[in-house]
Amino acid sequence: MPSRVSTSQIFSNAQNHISTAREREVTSATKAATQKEITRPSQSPGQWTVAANLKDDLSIRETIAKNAHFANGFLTASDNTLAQLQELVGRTHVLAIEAGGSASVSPDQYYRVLPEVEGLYQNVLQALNTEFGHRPVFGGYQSQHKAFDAEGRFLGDDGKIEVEIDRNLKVPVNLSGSQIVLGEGVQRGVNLIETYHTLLGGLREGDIEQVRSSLEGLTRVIDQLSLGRTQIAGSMTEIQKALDSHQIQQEQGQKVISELEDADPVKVFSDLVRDQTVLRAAIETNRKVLNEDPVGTLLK
Amino acid sequence: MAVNDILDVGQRGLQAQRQALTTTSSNIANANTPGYSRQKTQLVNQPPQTIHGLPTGTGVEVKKVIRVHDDFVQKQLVDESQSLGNLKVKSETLSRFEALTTQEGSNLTESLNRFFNDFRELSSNVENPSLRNVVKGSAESLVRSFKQMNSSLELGRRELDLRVGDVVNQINIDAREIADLNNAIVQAESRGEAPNELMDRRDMLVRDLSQKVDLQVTEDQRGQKTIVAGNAVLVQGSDHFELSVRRSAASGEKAAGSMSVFVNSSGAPREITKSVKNGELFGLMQARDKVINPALHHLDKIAFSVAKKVNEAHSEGTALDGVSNRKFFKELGDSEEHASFHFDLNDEIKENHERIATGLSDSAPGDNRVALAISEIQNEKFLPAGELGGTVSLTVNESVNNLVSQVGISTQHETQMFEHQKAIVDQLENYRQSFSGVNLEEEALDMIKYQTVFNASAKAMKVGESLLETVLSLKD
Repeated sequence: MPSRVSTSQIFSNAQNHISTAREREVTSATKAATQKEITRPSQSPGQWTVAANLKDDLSIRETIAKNAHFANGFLTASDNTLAQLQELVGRTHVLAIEAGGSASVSPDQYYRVLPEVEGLYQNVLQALNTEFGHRPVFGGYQSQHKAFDAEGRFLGDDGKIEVEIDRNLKVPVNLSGSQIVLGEGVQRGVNLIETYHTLLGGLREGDIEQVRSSLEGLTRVIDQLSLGRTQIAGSMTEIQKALDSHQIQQEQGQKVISELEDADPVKVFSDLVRDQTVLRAAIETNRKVLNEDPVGTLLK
Repeated sequence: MAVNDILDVGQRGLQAQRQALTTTSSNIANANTPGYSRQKTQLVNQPPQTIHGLPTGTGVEVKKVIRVHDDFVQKQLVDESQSLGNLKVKSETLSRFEALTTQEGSNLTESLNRFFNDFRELSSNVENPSLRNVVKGSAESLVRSFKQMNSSLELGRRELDLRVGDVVNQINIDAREIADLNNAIVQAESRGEAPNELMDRRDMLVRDLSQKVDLQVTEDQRGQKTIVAGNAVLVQGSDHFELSVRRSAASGEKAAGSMSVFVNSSGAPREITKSVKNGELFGLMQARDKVINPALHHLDKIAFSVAKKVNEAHSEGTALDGVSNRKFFKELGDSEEHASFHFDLNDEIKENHERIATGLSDSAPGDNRVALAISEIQNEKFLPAGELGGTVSLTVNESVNNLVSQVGISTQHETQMFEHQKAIVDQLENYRQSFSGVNLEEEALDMIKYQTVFNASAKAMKVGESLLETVLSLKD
């Protein structure tokens, strides 16, 4: 049995049809304009939360990656310094062998070697005070002054500066001067400064035994510096891994966020065209329905 | 049969058709009137007379004008409108609230990220005074974000309380008018009138009222409606009992100072808040107590926990001025309540960023252990997962996102429920309109029908008059 339709129903139905079609068109237009599938959590709370957590993770990773780059720089500076020190100590070792290798070395030869060794010592002291970002690389937490004074006294401390290179992963970025230079806490560690003092004293005094006694120290210092470089290399490998991981996480994260939030442009525009067509159809149809005037015709 | 009878029958025909035309005109005039039920003129033939042993018709009369109305649909509409009112107000409120929390939540998340990232950056360069200043700035921005979100939520709560008061006022206005209509209907009926318009108006008011609060409607023998909302009688006969709102103490999820609903019946006002189970009034209180209040508690918990964790880490350190055991944020006491409102930076740090401790040891300006520990708080899972419950814990960012998504889940749920309920009520309203609404084509046809008979009745009278004239002319 056909249902009866009241006049106000015709109007309210027209209004409903047009407003529903308009609402859909606006939704599609918003998606097309923003190119976002999700603009409010209620559209998909689960997807929205995953995307929000990923965005936070990416923001944190950005800073962590910046810190990892800083750590890398710090360690590279330390490594370069250690390489330089190795060269300086190596050259010193050659000179010390030259000076103490034979019993028939004349005092003239000592005096010839001495200035170069003194120069190398000054270079070593200079290298030990290398700074990265106005911070001495071997000074530990004592960052406001040089790590070593002119007499080679260590002014720093054992402070281990750690930097977060990945979420919940920290690496030490500095080698303590007390360890790498003074040999403290190192198995068969040698004090680099004292070794130089022994050598220089021997050269100044013309004491061949004293010169010779510094030779083993110099060899061990070179090993000690190598050990430090190995530690640095280990940390740098970890940092590189972390940076690679950040890169992957950034790319993956962005991809997932895009999949969760971004609208498919083809679908969005085809939806928009469809919704605009539906809206036009709703307006046109209702115009025809509402323009009919059966009452006027009947009462003519 | 006398010739006069022809005139009488014709006159009755004219009167009846005129009445029917009046009803039709009234229907046409009210085609757009909300709540109007079309009316029909019930015509009955007059009892016949027996003249010369033959039954002779005596014309037509209007028995009554009835309204075309379905009580069952009205009852269903009243029942379903209660849920519609509840869901509509919740869906609208939550949609607005969702937009707000998404915006404020994203600001808060951004501030949290900035705060912890700045500490992270400071940890790799603790001697840099400008980085300390940046940390101080981002901490102040975090304070603002917590306060802004708190203020938005509080504003939302206050607005809902105001709306509770508004809805109660509207309920009182409707209840008063229904009581007046009860009285007017009885009086009209006692005068033998058909109070169709009054009944339509009363039905519409009851439907409107049912959107505002859950009702039980009964009708007595005299046709007067008794309306009970919650467990309070709102209307009984021509009497109505007003509702009122008052601020009350905290109870359950209801915060202290929130509006409660009372009925002012005989004696002292009686609280009926808990017996209100549907309608806009219920929806507003639910949105306030089940969404905004938990969100505020959630925010307070985050603010309290962040302040506590950062303070614990910071107090272990020593600042550049040599002072240790200094809190980074102001102490919030033992209670989480209003923590997001009171969340603030320590005044000493506000004055001088050198008072930010970054390391554990004093006279070690490169010590970054405290800065690092504070930045790592962002990775710690120390906040309860709320509705997830159990042993699940969340990081501070996850917790803020969870707060926003909980509002999103509620909004999605209530919006879907509202749309479903709206479809039901629309269908019922459509049915009511289809049954009781005015159709202009029908009315036009009725008009032609009654006009035709009116003309014919006039014609019959004319014939009667002509007959009478013929009879009278016989004398000449």
